[in-house]
Amino acid sequence: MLFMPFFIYSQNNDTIQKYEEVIIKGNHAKIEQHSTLTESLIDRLAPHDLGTLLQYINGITIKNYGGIGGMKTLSYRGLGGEHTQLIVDGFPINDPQTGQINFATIPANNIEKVSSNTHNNSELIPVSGLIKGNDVQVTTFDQQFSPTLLSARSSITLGSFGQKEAYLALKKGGKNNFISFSGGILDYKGDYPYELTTIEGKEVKTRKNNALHNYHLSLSSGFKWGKKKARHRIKLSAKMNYIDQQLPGAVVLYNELAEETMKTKNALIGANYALFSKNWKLIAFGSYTNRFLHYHDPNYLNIDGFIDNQYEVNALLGGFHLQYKWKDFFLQLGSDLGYDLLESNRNLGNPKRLNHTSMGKIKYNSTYFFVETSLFSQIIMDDNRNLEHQNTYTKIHPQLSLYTTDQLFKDWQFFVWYKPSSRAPSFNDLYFSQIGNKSLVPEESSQINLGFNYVKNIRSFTIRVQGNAFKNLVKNKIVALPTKNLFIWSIQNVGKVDIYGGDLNFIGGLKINQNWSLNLQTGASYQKAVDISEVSSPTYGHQIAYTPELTSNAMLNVNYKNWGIHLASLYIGQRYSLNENIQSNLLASYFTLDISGSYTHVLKNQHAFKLHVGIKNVTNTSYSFVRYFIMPGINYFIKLSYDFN
Amino acid sequence: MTLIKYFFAFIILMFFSSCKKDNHEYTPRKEPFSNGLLTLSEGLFHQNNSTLSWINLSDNTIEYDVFEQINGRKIGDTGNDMILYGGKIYMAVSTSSTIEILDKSTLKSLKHIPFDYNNKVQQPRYLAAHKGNVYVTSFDGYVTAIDTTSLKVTKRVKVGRNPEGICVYDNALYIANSGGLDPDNVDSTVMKIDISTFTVVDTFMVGKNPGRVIADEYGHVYVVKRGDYMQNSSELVRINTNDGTVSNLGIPSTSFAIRGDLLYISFYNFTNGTSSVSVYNCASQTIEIENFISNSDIETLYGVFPYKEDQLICIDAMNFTNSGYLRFFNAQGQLTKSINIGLNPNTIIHYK
Repeated sequence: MLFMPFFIYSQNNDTIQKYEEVIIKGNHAKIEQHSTLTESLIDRLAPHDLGTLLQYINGITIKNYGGIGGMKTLSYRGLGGEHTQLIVDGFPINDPQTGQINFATIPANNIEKVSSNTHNNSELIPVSGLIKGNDVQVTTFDQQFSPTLLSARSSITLGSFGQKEAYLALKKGGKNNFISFSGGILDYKGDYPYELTTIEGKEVKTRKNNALHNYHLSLSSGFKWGKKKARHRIKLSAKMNYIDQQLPGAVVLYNELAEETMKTKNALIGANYALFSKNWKLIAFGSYTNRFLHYHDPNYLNIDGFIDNQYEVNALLGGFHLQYKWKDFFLQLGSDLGYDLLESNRNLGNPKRLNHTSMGKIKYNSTYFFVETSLFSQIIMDDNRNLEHQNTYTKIHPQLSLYTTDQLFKDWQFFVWYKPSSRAPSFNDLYFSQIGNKSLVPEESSQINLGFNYVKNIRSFTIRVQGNAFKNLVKNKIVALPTKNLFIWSIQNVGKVDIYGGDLNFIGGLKINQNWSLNLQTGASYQKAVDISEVSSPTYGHQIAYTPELTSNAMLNVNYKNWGIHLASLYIGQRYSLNENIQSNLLASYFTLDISGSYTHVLKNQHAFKLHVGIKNVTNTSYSFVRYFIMPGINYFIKLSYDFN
Repeated sequence: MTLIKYFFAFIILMFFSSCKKDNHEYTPRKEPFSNGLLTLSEGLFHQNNSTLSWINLSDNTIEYDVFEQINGRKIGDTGNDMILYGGKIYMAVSTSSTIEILDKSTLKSLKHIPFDYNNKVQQPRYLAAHKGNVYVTSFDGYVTAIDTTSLKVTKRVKVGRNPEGICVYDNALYIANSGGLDPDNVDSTVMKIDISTFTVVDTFMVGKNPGRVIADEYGHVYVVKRGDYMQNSSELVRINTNDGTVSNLGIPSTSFAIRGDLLYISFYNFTNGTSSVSVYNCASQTIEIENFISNSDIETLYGVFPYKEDQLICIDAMNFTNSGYLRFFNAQGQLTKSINIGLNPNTIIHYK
């Protein structure tokens, strides 16, 4: 159990899943190209949502707008969040309205594994995930086959600032099928204290208008059939998530009268099919997503005296990814087709988008290398006749990669890859009243990566080191600028960003004796992402806004019998609130440390009762990633959980 | 246990590297502020980064954020306007919804007035002073009077939607109602308030989305009609208070300032990104100089400020997200110097 982080495939009971693994020639431990958080690690971090978890993955920077419920968007290696594809249980998740996912809206209590893959060459995933800058894959308890007849996960969490959370998941498993249900409820007042200098001097204020209620439900089932020659698997999924929250906004000096609210409803139904045989592999999926957002500001000083905006996106998405193995060659074909429709009570028209990505790939595995080349085609067709806009955008992107095997270097793997991609402007970028710009073209990015993996097992000591050096370029960057006056901003294709950097990740585990063990996962990432849009601009050569050059994380777990002590820390380096790198835009670096302890009592090897008590932000650091979106200071939680099988 | 040692060493390193603190010690000045330029920069929405900068004209040194240095706190969010009246400086801080009153000589805050009526933010925008009162327009649709002796709000009157510019002429206030928070249905009126009765006595239709207003000595009130930023462009409109007529002078304008008979009209053309200044003679009602400055000297003209007897300071907001400049021009319209200042400078007070 201790070394779970190193042997990812041992985490789930899905036998077909193991069958999917690509065997790298050689005899060393399987090398993953992922940065991964596994179930045990996720449990120890006691995250509020997926965004909180992703902070601990190297290279990912989470732009964090608050505690529980505060919006969390992602940037990977200096690329905007729109360049990342989220895939939950095999379904790509998109938000065509804003272009990026708010990771705070995805609950964490049913997540078994999270991985970030910049260049995924070992799995069959939807090709829309392969064309993006990177993908974040989430695997939930709900969607995994289980050989046991009944299994359960449940927990109750109480935390500071009115956090009350309950979660229950039940799964009826079997040799060839499963059916599962999970549901969670979260209630949060969010009235945390923070320090601010006002006319009274340094004052302790309380965050206001920050409450949240969240409900989520999931129903899943799966079936497997076939024999050794060809195995088939189908999974069905229905999920719903409802969030009713107040929006505290930025802390505005001397003005604490924020009363905005937001309701979010996300629902998905979908099916996943997989076929595995000696030479063939296939995954296919189809999903329907409904996203509803209702924003209300009761204090706006317009003629109505309020703003009430509602947006609804209906999306269909389907695709396949096929692999045929012939001798040492792998031939892959894939295609994703998506259709998005946005309706709203704002003057956005009724934008529709047809999004098609297709891919052809050849991979060759030799004794010493495996080499891969692929060609992607992206077609984006926008149609918003109400606003007299129709546009079709096509782009061909090649990708290349070369990996060594450990026949060449024992315990080591070296790799190099090149990956260009483009991201379409969101519906808001194109059509949002006043700021939208219908002449936008997709933002282009390219990445070159040079990296290594080192995995070594020496008796009871296991280490894995992964390092990368990368060079990225973003062209036609889509940015919002005030173009008419300070009131009226507009979205433009003006930016060009040059990014280079590197990251280093270390995972180590030590089993000292029968009772004692420890493991450590730590990483640091450096990224220099500078604006090179215009030589004459004052920001030429400056680090782009909200991109810390240095970020780091560390997680240490010390286990004695059924007891555990867990430490998790994050360091976010200095960054700027605007592209101009001047003192007044500088935001201080910060460091947070969470400490928790757990005790697990296991009955008859089936029933696990666990008590987990923790302190978050132990040093009571006052910090904000985004200017004036002040985060909570020291806070506490207690979690009782019961797992069956 | 080596791993644990490294882990804690790592944590301690991260902790200390995140604990760097800037240590700004401010030594109180002995002399009152004089011979300099006080500049208000509004900053950006929700960044609480409005600043007051002091440019010392005797040695050309600049103190950025002199308000915070002296008062130990920040101005707040979107310092929109600032006037000097009777030895005090009045600042309208829009998003923070406060009026800040400072002593002119020391820049110490004398009074901080939260501008929320019935627990609703008012968002003060522009200021004007007359006979012991400072008048404030606020986005909630009111003009409020502040007594400059007691420094208290004394009365308020309802005007149009989202009023912006305010000026005084002949014991009357002229208020531009922008309606700017309904971009598809903006206001088009300027209202006249009789100061004695503090009631609206007249309304003038001036065109869409009026912004700044200013009065000359001949009974004319000039208004920037900002239009819709598309076909309906931003132009100068004149109200003749003598006969109540309104004329669109057709002069491109986004802001202005007056010195004697000369109205300096600044215009930033957002469609092609050019900046220009024209000089209008209020006595003869003619344009005296069409292109006073060269477009290449400035990136985004945000306003003008007549300086000394014949010079002009043009406020350059750059691209609104980079720190701005004060560009000094001589009487011939030649650029003589530039001073880098805060983010989005909008108002200057000259201390002689």
